[in-house]
Amino acid sequence: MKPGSIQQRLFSRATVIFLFIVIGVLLSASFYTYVQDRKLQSVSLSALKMASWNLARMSNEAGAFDREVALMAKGVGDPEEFMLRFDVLWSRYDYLLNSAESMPTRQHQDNLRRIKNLFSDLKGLEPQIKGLLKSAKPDWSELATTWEQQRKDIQLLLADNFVGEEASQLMTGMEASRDRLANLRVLTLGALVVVFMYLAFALTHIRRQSRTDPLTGLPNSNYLQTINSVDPRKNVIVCQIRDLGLVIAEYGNETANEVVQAFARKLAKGLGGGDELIQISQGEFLLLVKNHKNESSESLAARFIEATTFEWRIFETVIPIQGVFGVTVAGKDQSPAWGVRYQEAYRALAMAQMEREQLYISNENLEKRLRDERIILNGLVRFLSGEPSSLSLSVVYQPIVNAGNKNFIIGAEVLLRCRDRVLGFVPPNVVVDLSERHGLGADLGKWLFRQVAKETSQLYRDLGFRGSLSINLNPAMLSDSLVSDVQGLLVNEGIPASALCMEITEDNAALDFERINELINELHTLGVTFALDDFGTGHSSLEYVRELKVDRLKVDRCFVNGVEHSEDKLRFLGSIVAMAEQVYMKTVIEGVENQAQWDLIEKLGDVLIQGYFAHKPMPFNEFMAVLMDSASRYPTTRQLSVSAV
Amino acid sequence: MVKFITSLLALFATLLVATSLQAAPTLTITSGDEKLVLDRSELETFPQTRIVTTSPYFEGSAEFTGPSLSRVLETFDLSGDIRIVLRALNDYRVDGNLRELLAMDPIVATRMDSQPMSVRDRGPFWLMLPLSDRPELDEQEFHRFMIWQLEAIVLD
Repeated sequence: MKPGSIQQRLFSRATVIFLFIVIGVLLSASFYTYVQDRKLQSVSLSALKMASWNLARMSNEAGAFDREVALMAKGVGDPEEFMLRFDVLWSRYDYLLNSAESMPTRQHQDNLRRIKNLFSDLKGLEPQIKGLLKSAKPDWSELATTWEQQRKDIQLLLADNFVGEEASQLMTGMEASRDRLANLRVLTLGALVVVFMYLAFALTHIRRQSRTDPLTGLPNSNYLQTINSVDPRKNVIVCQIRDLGLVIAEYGNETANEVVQAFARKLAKGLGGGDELIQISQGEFLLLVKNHKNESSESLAARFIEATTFEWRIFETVIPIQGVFGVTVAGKDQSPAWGVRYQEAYRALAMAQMEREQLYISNENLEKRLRDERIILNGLVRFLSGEPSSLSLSVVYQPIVNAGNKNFIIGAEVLLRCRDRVLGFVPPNVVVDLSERHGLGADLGKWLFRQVAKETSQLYRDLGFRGSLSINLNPAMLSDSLVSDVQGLLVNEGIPASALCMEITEDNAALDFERINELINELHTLGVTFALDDFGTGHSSLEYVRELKVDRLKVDRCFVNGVEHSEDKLRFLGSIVAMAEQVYMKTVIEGVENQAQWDLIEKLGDVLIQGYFAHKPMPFNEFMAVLMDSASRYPTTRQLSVSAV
Repeated sequence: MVKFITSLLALFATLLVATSLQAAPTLTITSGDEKLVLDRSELETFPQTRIVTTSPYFEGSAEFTGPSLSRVLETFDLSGDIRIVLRALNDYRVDGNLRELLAMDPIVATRMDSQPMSVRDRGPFWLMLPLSDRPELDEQEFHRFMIWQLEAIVLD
């Protein structure tokens, strides 16, 4: 049954109205019973008792008189006793008709009329009785007959009052009330059972509903909250549909939902008995899965990756769908708490996303790395805002020399150095990546510019140094504010624009050649030059060489490695230099580390060399000392003016 | 002879009826072996008490006269806890504690509005309570002692 339909039925208007009617009927029935019973209570029991008692006395007295009549008829009666009984009955009628006490008896039904009739009937006997008593030979039979009729009327009155009327009415009323109550109780009980069942069902349903994703029917994040522990033999896998946001952006949420449903189905197919699949959010799932026999967690994850890599077709368009997986592998015995494993899986997922991988399996290194990164980032934030920080950044300079003359220092590359008080040396690319990821790239760039200006401006101002300074631009610096930053933080601080060389890599130039070239052009007009860094490592392809209007090509150290042992490698390096010459680029060869390499590269032509063999990266003071060395030569204002002449 | 006997019987019967019509019931008081039978004239030789009262048994108020019950019973030994039973002509009985009953100041009424009461008027003796003077007695639990056509009193 679809979740929607049961909900519709459970909370439909008809059901709710029905329930309201049931409860309404019960309420009105209760009210009716209450009113009825109130009426019953208003019947005065004492008045009833009094009436019954009086009538019973009357009956007794009539009976006593009756006996006297019979005795008289037989001729053995005592006239005195006879008259006494006659008078007693007389007084009873009188009492019934006149006393305040017997009012209820009189008022009931037509008792008043009947008693009046009986009284006048009795009075009617008197002349006859007097005649009979005076008569010497009385015939009592006629009187007996007349009396007999009265006696019957008395019995009838009694019967009507005792059986037919008030008492029986009371009894009937009581019984009816009791029956009503009993029926009502059954009804109430039944209705309560119905309502209770409805509520129980509704509650269960809502409970289940609240723990289920309406789209896929999978357990949702509410269900996740209820998980306290997970079998340590299960892998904890967090999975996200990659770029689901883009699908929503381009095709709408409905399509995205269909994709999510299809994705969930494919995930579910890979589940074994006891495995669980929970939908955390629209495009995010949690899998608690045991390895198949002889299956590693890696191949298990690979199985899910394969199953969930598919193409979603909508009209003519094909959307490639794939998941990103973060895995905490199944433990043996001593496994960390479920919450920790869950967190680890997320850490792995975050890592996979960072690295643009489909899968990352959580391990100790990851944990350490992420912890270190947290420390570094924290330090970086504090450092850049000028607060006391465990992280300190500095710049070093690696001189670049002319291949023809090792002592001729044409400039230096500015390199970032990072040191954490706890972690020690931190690779600069880690700091740069972190700053890029957390929006600190521009700040880091500005700091770098300021630092370089602060340290080197003296060289240009006092030494007349005109050598170049190569500065690596991180991606965030390649923005519209670059020109003003270069102007404001470097040129205005005393570094000639012509001495500045901005190094870019494919990574930061990737976005848009046109935009980058615009920037390059703008800075070219100032006199700033550009270099394509790490050429040949895959980060900088030939297309970049062709498209970007850079002035220098920096050949990666891997092309230098081994040139002294391999003719082929040397020739290859030579062809790169030749190509650069063809497109009017100056070549800087990095990583030259020994005399043999130097000698070979020297012959390749007019190239620049940066490497340990010539100079290691050094702090500014050392760099200045190298420049001041009497053996060293470098471009100066004088030389420039000479060459200009 | 037969005729004579018949006429004699008739005469006797007439006499009997005449005396019976005249004869009024008496009040019999017994206490153990002691027994006292009183008719109206004898009761009226006691000091008379007068009660003017309303009651649930008749309209308006009426004047009753007769000796107080305590006077009537004073020839008997009334010490100790005595139970009194009052019985009427129709055999209706009421019993209660004598001391409690006497505390209600009852009289054995022989006349209502100065007239002797016939059986038809609930006479000849009616135990009457001063309901109007002592309104606290105007309750059903005291009404039951207002026994009419009083025929006998038994003490034990």
